[in-house]
Amino acid sequence: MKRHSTFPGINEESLYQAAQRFAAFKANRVEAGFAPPVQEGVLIWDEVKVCIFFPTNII
Amino acid sequence: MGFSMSSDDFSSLHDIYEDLDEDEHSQKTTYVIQFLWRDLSSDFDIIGPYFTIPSTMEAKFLHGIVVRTMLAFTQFGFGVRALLSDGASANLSLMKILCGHEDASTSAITPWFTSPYDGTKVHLIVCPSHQVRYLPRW
Repeated sequence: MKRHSTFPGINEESLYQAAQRFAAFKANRVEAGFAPPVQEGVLIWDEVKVCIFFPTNII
Repeated sequence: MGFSMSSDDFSSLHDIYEDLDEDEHSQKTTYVIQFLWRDLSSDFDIIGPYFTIPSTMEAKFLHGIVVRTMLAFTQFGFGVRALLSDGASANLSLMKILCGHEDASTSAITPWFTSPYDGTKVHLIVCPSHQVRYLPRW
């Protein structure tokens, strides 16, 4: 998952780890008595502008 | 995660920050597009990939990264039932293209399209919080 946070682009290893994490999450939910999560979701994206400098000495 | 500065960004700190070599073919990053996936039936999130963009972005580049990311998530079992973004013109153009309208001047007939990866409907959602323009003064 760290790979997706520190390098641009799609990383299959990160997604594989997410799949494993979801499998564990699903097992926990089922064990706790909830209905299993459906693994169907919404893909969200947004664009941000890179700001090299921002002021930190705001008084 | 570091982004290079060019010499006109901060001339006084020019020596401290890494300089982007003018001879290199890479361009300075101006924008970052960040993806997230959220399960509809629980609070499970995936902080997805991000992509860096120089100052000019071609529409087909956005189209490419959205469908590639959709494919990647689908391949790993994370179904994509909806796409959500803000109402920026590039995103709206993409939505119109995905709904099958080559001519971007006509509005989409259906706010969904059929996923080429698993054959189910993918709904298009424009984030409502970005649509709020005027707040009434009580």
